[in-house]
Amino acid sequence: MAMPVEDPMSDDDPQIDTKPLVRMRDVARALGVSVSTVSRALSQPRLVSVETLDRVGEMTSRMKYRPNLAARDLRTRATRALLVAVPSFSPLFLEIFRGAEQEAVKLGYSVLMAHTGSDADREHVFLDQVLSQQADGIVLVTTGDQDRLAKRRTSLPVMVAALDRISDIGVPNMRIDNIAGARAAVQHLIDLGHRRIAHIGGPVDQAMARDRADGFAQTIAAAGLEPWHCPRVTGEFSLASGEALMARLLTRYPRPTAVFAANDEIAVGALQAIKRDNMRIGEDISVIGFDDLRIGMLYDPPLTTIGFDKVELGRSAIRALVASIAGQTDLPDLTLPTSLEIRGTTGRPAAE
Amino acid sequence: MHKPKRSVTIHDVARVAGVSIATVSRAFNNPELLSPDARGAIEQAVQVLNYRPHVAARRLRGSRTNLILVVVPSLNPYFLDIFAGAEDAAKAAGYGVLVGHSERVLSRERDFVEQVAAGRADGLILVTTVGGYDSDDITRMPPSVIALDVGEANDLPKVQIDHVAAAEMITSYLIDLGHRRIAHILGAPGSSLTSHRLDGFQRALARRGIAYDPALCLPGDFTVDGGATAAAAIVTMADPPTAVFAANDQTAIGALQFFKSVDWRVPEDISVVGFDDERLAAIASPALSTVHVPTYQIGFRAMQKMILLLASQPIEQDTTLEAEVVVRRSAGPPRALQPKSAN
Repeated sequence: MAMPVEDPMSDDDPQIDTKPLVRMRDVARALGVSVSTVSRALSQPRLVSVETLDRVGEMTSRMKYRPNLAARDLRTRATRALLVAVPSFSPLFLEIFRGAEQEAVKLGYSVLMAHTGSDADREHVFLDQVLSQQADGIVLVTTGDQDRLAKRRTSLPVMVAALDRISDIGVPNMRIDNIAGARAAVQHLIDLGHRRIAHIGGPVDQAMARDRADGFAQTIAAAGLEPWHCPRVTGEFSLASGEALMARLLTRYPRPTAVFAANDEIAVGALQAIKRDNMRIGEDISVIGFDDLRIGMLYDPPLTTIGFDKVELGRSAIRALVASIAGQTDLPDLTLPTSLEIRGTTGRPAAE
Repeated sequence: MHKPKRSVTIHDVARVAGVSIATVSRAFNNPELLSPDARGAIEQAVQVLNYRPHVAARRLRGSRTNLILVVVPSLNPYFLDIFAGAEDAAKAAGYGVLVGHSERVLSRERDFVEQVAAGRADGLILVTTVGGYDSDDITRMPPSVIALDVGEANDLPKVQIDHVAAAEMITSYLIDLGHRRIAHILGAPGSSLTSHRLDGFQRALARRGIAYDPALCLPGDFTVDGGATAAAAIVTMADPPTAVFAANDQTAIGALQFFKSVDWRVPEDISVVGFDDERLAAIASPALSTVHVPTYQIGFRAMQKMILLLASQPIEQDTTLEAEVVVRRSAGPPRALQPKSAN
């Protein structure tokens, strides 16, 4: 192959650029080696001697040489970039992304967070981006439409499903057991002596919200509690929704003595409504959340909740994704454990 | 005299690689159609020439991504509303949003700039920047806007608030309540935000003829723990302040928690105010009086600017949005001015 050793545009006017970008040929010239040697050292280090590798490494950092990504993409057909698609910008997804990023950086990838807004169209735009090699792979943190994913299961990019159970599409699943976590939350309230327990849920079109509601219903039924005393209301995964729905529950007869909120944001909203009614948290009404977010931990009193290792969830999703990119198949699904974090918002029901 | 900088074109790549322009074009769009030799020659030429397909040209070809990359300095929930604002403005214009995290590391910020330049997104919004970009850098950069600029020298279009004026405003609020001994818990050392807050604090005191007492300026680091540590120092003072201006809400919440733990009532025994109005402020107990930074609007306006830039429309270079004091329950008059209580 013909090798252009001289850049035809070299130094035709040294004044035109006072801060020239350092190019690969500058590094090569400084070292007295060919451009292709530098190129090999940077992209296929196994093909060059350790001594050359060291010299190139030292010179590139001394000269602050930075590879041109567009050219590199073209050369290797790999972007070394990953996407993590999240349904909303909420603290839970920031934590998962934090873990994903730690692992990606460790493995030599950069990672971008893509926002789907639970919009299936947008989600598929990002999947297509990976297919068209804008990124090497994607972690889908929950999905807006399971059926649509299943329909295109033969034309999916390299991907991993995280947090939610996304079944039947043949991709690794890194999740938590939302049903088991919800059961533990409700059982905690039952063990404290509560018999009138309400559930404030998230959007019913999200599998995560449905699983948490199912865990609630199963535990209530198993304990033989009166369903009429254990109402379920649903809204958004937000403070405002939790506050509005709690205000409604507080006017209900008979009033529940405890609430299982489908996430911490709903729970904190509910606590605000309880405070505004001048009721005693953990005495008149107990509240337990799910996710173990900072907003609950810093609340006064701190929120009792169901926790799980969000950073580890993100990390394991990236590990599985990078293994998939490397061609590994039949990666095992992983279910991270949840734990009951008893803090200050749950207690025995007040004597009646 | 400067000659205008000549940019490398696809013609140069074709000439150096010894192939036709059509072949180079195919190498970018359908590389699988090329022989390995031709691809190799073009790759080599691209690299040697440092050729970067022109963003505008690519857009003409219809291969734009319709994505904007928003880069944040930390994964703090404080930035969530900036995303939300950016997302809403982007959605209205048919764009999607990607988020990158620079950890305030220059090389990572520059890497995101490169990624956008390489065509992974159409434009870049930097939420604060560690870069400092002069006009020379800008010629090499993809369309970029800075959101929440904190006063580093750079020539990129930006959306900002006047941090010094906002800090002066909340300090004046405490003075208006009757406070004269006011402590300030500083932000993290080395941050320009830290010096802006201190400047505003001192300016308010000076305007009202109150001497600045360095002993009332306590170290902090923008965290809950830092606020608690500073509050612990305050309660041991022989002549403690009657009010505290914390450099951000997290610091203020740490102080609230510590005062509560030693049975100092807020605001009866001491007033506490913060800065940012992040979500925690409204749900703190007592609810925190603070400076509302219009984060949603900052994100929204920055994205609007980006969309205008991409449409080659004229934009306002710098936009300064108003911050405002939000009065909740954590500040009141000093004890000497409080009505006598029944007990």
